[in-house]
Amino acid sequence: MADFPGRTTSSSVRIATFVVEAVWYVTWAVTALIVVAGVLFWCVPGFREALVKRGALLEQATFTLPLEVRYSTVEIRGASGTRAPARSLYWVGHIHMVGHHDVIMARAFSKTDIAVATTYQLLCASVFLWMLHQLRGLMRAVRRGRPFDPLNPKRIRRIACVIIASGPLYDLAQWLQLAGTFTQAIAVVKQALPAASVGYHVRVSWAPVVIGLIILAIAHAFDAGVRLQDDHDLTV
Amino acid sequence: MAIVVNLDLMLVRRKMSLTELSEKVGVTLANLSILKQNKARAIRFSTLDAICAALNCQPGDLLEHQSDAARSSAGSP
Repeated sequence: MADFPGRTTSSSVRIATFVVEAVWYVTWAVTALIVVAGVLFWCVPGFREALVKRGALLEQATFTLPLEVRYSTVEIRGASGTRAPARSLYWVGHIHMVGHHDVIMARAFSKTDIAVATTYQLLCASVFLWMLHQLRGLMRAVRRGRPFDPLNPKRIRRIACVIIASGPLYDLAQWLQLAGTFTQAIAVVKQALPAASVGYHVRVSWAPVVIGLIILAIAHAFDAGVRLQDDHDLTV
Repeated sequence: MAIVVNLDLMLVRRKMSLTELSEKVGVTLANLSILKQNKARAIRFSTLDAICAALNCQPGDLLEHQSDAARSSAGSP
């Protein structure tokens, strides 16, 4: 069996461990803030009022379409420098019209929005915390001088899976958000401008998939490392 | 594995404890225990040399090859 090499004193490992630990605690704090904010927005109407952006819409001066859009409680008349009359607005979204200027639309802030947004953010935070938990275990093993701990390939594989899934899932969430928000508004736009091509402007992220696949390959390398470490440990 | 380590047999013959052998050979008790329990994947020539010197025996006295069939029949009641 190999002698226990002891804790590593590498400064890069110590810095990486410190960063991971810091992100871990900051993420917990942010998660707690999400919960508190969700509860406050849900229960206290004053908080919703505090977020109202009064007449801060249609900021793009190039908006020239002779268009009137009605959505929820919001009424927007399309003219350069138009300001929205609604009071209870805080959220601004975009619809990209191919061959035209960007039309900025807004929608009212409802309790359902709060519930959906809080749930989505908590879900993201939970997945991120779980990934950080795996990373912390990995860093602890490295600091103990056991980088080829049998659990480490599994941890790396889990992290890779989360990264691979995060790209398409984020795109899907964005698309659902746009679809849920602007379906009605786009119908109005299409009615007003039958010739205009109106569509969701959603990107597809390939980078997380590629990065995740590279991390999966590293997990395979760690598998080989674990086998070698095992052989080394059982050599007398 | 088909290679069996007869360390416990040699220790009984030489009336020596594992701790005593560990001190003489300079190999940790944990490592000798792995060897004694037939859990070792490999043994260094230097370790084998030290054990043979301490027990005054040949490598053949310590190591034995047993086919899987012989081992399973020996293990059955």
